[in-house]
Amino acid sequence: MNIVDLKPGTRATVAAIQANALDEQRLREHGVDEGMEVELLHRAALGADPIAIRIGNCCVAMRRAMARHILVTLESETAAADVSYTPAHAPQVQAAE
Amino acid sequence: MTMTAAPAVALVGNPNAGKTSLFNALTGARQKVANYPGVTVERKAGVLRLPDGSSAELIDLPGAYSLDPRSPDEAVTRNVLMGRQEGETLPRAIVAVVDATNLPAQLRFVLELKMLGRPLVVALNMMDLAKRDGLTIDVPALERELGVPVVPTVAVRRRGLDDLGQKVLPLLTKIEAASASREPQDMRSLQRRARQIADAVVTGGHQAGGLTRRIDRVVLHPVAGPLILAAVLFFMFQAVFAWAEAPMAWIEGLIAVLQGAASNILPAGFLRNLINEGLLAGVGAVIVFLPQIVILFAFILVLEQSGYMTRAAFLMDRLMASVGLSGRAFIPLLSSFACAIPGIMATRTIADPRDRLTTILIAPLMTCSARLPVYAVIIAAFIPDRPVGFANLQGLVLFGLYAFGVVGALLAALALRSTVTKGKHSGFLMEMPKYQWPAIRDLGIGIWQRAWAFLRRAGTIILASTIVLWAFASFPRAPEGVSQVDYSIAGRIGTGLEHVFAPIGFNKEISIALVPGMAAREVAVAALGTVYAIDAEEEDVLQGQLVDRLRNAWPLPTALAFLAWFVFAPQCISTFAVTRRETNGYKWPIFMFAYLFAMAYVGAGITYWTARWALGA
Repeated sequence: MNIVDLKPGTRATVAAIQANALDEQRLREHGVDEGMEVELLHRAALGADPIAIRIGNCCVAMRRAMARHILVTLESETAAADVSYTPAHAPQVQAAE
Repeated sequence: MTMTAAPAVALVGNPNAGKTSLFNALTGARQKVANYPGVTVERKAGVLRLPDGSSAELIDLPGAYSLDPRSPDEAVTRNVLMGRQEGETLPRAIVAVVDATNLPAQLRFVLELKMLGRPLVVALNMMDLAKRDGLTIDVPALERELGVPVVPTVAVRRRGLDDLGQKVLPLLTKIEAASASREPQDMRSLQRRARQIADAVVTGGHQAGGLTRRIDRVVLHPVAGPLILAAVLFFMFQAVFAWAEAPMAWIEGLIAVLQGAASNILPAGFLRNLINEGLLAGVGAVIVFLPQIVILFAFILVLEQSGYMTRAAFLMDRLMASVGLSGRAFIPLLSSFACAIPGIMATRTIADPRDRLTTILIAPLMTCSARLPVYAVIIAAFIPDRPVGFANLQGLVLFGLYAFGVVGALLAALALRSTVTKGKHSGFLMEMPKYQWPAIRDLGIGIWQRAWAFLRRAGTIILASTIVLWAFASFPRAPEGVSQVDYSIAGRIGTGLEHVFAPIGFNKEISIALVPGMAAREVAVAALGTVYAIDAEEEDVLQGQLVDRLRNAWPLPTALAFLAWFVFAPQCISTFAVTRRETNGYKWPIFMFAYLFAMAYVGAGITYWTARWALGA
């Protein structure tokens, strides 16, 4: 499913970005990335387009056509899903010290 | 130490990271705003005072999300940072401004900047908002992870500025090779690394953006949202007129006092005429609109700085999409209600070239403040001041003129988008920043810069054209018994133009006034004043009786056609110049003038003949 299919207020996790190189880069510049928590926040009045989504702690508005590039898995399914991103719980090597 | 000799420090960051606030806080009101050669991207520079008493030149680079440019603005940012921008030396140090509330996304750009291999300091801005969101950031850990100095700042409250200076100073004294290099980056790995760092240094924040979310739930509501936007815009335009009334009266009073003084001091004759009728009447007619411009820009700046403007863009996107534009075009178009020039310059944030060009081409159709003097005089002269329902007929006509401009712009966009700027739509993608109170200093500096630009225009183009017109209308001196207007140079030009404009109901005086009105619209009022005053007794000028004179001189259909003309006509040299610069050539400004003239001619003609028919003439 993609982020447009979400109900407002439902949290999900980005599973993949399926877009041409340019659109993918624009989405990534705005913080979209596999493994990020996302949420559909608002839909505009006419045709529910554009939409506003939360990515991490940031809110981004985009048209549905762009939002459809963002594939998501629901939060409850995330544990089972294969997500390429692993949070950095592992201690960082701090060679500078 | 001169500005050019001082080492340059570049301020870089995402568009909503508070970069301009930080720039204002660091440099104060004394900023130099210019353009980079060949492009119209604004170069804003100021003096950065350093803790050892020396100073550096601080350059506020256009907001960017990455070093792969997607708009002319972002290209300048990249080029300056790489030392490739014409007219700019490679900055000695970079200050990266980062929104502390959104580190995972923001640090990606910092990592990209760091790879340039240039001296870098991170200003961890909006620390107050991060705190409001319940975020704690381990600054020493962030410094270790990034390997560059990190200074927490709250630009709008002037916090952290001294610390920032302390960290910038040593970078400027270091001697290092003056070059920047860059290899193509894998965006994904930068994102991962940025998130690793953010995970390691940020704790808390589960109530993220609570206040902003609650406000957005109301202002972006499908029903309430558009209503609130309409109310905001209505209040804004209402305030522009209501609040400006008193200061405008003061300015008018002041001009009258100066004219009176000139009459007392100077003997009657050439010099007194030049000063009273040419200079004071002409420039006064323009400066009187400064209060309205200031109020309109104050509103726009508040909307921008509070974060509401992007919500307005969100709400307007669907409507704009129906004519082939995006919500982003709403912001420059709203600015164009004050003046098309900053509006056209604001289109630089529109990444898609066709979207941007279309927005530039329709920007002059937004009723700019320069039309107000014209509308105000004609409405006062010809539209009865009587109530119609809840409103007032004069107010309704004014509203109608604004509405005509907007509808004309939307239709023009639709037509352009399916012909000359045909092509794939690029869509709409825009970060919506967290709400915050605008800082008084940022408002003040923003308003000052715009007011100053307007006054400079009044002092140059408008002043020059008023004096030239006054001379054209005053010479050669008519012999006894011949009308001065008919006999003068201006009268002869007007007689020629009258053939062109007679079919749409314009008389010779209007034709004369339209000539200097090409330089700037508001000059047309001054020109009418000059044209009608030349033949009048001097007292008429002093008492400002243009309204009465027009009422007697013009039939109603002519007045309405004149208003319609001003809704559409391209009459502003500055707009032509800025369009030429923004589109890199004469093709588009010429096209813009041609299509607007056609619209104005047809619009005025339809108005004239319809009015004549309706009035049974």
